[in-house]
Amino acid sequence: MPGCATVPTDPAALAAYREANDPLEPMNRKIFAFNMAADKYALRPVVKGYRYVTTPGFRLKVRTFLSNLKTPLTVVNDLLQLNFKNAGKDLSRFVINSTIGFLGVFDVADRMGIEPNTQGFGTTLAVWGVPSGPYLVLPFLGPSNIRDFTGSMANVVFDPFTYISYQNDNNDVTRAFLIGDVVEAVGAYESIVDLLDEGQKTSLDFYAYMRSMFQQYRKKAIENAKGIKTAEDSKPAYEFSLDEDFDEFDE
Amino acid sequence: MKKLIFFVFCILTCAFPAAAADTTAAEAFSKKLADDIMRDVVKAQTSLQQKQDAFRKIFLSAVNIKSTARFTLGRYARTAAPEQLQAYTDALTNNIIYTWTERFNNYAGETITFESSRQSDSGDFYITSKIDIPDTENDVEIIWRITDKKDVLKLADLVVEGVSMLMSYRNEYTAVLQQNGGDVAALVKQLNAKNEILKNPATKQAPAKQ
Repeated sequence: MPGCATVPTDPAALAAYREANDPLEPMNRKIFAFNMAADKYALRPVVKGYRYVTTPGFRLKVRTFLSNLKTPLTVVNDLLQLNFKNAGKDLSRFVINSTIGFLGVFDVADRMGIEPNTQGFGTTLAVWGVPSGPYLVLPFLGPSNIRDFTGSMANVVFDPFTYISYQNDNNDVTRAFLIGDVVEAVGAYESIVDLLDEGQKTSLDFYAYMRSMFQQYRKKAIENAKGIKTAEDSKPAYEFSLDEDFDEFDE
Repeated sequence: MKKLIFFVFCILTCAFPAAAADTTAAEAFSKKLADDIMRDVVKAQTSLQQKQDAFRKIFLSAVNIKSTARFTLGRYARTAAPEQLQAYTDALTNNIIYTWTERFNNYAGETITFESSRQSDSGDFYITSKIDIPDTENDVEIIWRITDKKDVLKLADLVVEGVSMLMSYRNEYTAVLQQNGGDVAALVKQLNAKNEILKNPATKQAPAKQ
């Protein structure tokens, strides 16, 4: 099949191939290269312009404001995950920040000890036991996997705000939310762009570097959603065994 | 009430005497490591070269570099020749020294807070710490994985927001090896070329207007 990698036969290469969970690597690398070009010619100028006209403090407030609008979606997903404790917490976050937090500009709830939490349908699927499926690089959107990609499309359906704009039959509301999504994407990208630059500067294979980062980061987000924090619950992903390689070389 | 407290105290000290001491030792080990780096690298008023040397000394005494290097090669470590392994170990060490000294050099000196520590069933210690970075939503969580081999504590891994440094190196470098038909020499060559660039980072660009 075009776009698919050939499965290696050498045991060492096979181990690396399995660990990467990336059978679509040839296609993914092409999209990754496209994204790098899009970053250079389209996204980077936008980020630079955004940085030029704003301060870091202001950008944080924009992110806080827009992420507050996504809190109802998080509450829905908390409920779907049967995590009523988090649903209660996140609902209080939304109420507190939308009122005394000036429509979400200030994260007052965090200062009161109710920490931010973001849940999407991709994580909910994972909590339900749906496996990630192969690694996927999406045009413009970057690293994902089959499950998370499905989840991100379903988020539109589960976001209560979708229905508010739909029911009002008001194009201005729909447009406002669309603009909100675009600004959110720019804000989110701006906040990680320095990390990406550093990764690109220090890595030998930026594609493989990003793949590893993304997969580990997602595992942690899912463990958090499942409430796995210590070995007593279940082993976090970073507690992999060292023995096979570490014992032989005791000094 | 006093009797009860004394009773609980006795049970606790009897039940976990060794584990408690070891977790404390592992936490002290991590704290000392963080302090040493802060004093000799982050806050030291020395040249970049001197900071690299200082960090190399701290790093090599804190980790078991042979095991670290071997782990990051995955199964390729089993077939690599001893001299290739040595060349790779040297190249990896330099890469870590240059990358991390540069990171520490740009680090604004945000304080690190140690929060909790625990020992897993396998015997390794996990020390959780947090760094608060201004103008960001969340603190950055850093977990120090400490191994105990014959009462010698070593830093095995650093897990930043769920991302294990050890696993990241392994995933990336085995991908490079896979593309080069498993040739460790090719990986060493690429690493050394990268190190040449990282060793003397170009004069810093003027910071972007905030």
